[in-house]
Amino acid sequence: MNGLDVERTLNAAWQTFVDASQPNPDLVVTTVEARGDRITRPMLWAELEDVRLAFAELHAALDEESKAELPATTLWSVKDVVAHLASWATEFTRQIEMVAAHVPFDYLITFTPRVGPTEWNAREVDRRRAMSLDDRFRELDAATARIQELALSLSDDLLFTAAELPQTPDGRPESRWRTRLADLMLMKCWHDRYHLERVTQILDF
Amino acid sequence: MTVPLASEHPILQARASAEVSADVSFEQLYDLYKRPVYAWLALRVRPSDADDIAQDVWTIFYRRWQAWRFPEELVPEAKPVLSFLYRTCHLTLAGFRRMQERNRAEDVEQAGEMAAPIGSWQHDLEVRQCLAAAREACSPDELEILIGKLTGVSARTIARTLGVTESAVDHGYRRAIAKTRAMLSNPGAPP
Repeated sequence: MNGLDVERTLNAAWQTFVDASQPNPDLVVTTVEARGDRITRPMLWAELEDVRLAFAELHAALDEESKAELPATTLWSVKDVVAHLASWATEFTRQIEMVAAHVPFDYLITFTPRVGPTEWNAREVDRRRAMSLDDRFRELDAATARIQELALSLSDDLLFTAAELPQTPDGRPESRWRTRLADLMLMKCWHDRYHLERVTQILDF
Repeated sequence: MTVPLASEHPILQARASAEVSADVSFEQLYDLYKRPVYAWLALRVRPSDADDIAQDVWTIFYRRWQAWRFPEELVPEAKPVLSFLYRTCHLTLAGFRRMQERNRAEDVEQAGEMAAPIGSWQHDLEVRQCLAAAREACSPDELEILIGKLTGVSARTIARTLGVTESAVDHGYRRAIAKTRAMLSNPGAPP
């Protein structure tokens, strides 16, 4: 067979293989009924990898310093948003590791509904002012990669049981969030994508 | 050359204009792509694992579909859902393999016994050999490129998924064809 014959035969083979495949007939019903609630470790790893790749693309697209200085929100530049995402990636990592080590939290993050933890966010972005854009991306990637490792290594009990976290909607310790670490990991991805979408719109790519 | 699939465009249009619910359109997209998604996975892992990973992929898509952002103008030739599913399959399979490595479970490459060889598939030995040769001869990335191209996934999507350039995708495809041809000409030789 020449190259073209191989290509043609591969096409036929693939078509036959696809036509003959038998996906689980109940899958669509169970997925819709579960409202997307299923969480598995490969799924967590994949979602985190997806945002890591998106950050890498964003980093590559910020090839000129001026682009990173463009306003991304009313308060922050693109570079600040990267610092913001890095600060939360580091904070999420710390929270997951502290829950895993059964270390109680000795701090609170007041998370005003619809506004967010404004003070905490501002403080953490300020702390990273001196960091270069590359260092901010480096922190973001390293923390996200660490969470990926934790998604694969934590016991089921830790990953899928609700844990008490430092976030609180009203500043009171008794109101602290209770959530599963698996959900916290997905929340991180949602938060990352929220900002990524805004930034990519601004940068127009 | 690619395998023709029905278009996802009418489903996207109907959903974008709120003619159908998110759930109904999800089911339509599932019907459209359930076989290629399963085939992407079944070529590389055993059927029970392909079932699990397919469920992960469709769950990720279900969540994302609820808040899907449609561009102002939908291009009929664009296949954003196919692209999303291809990328998600790739990433979820990578996560599954990482977990397998961590658990020191049996090697999934050995376990994947050319899954889903069902019914009419068995009658055409040459066709079957060709796909088996491709799986044997190609590197994981080349196989990823090959099945993406055969399903009609754009070179751009494949490139973004694998973190390579579009020209690297074209080279990878040509290399996959050449390696498959060599394997068919000389079965048993190292790839």
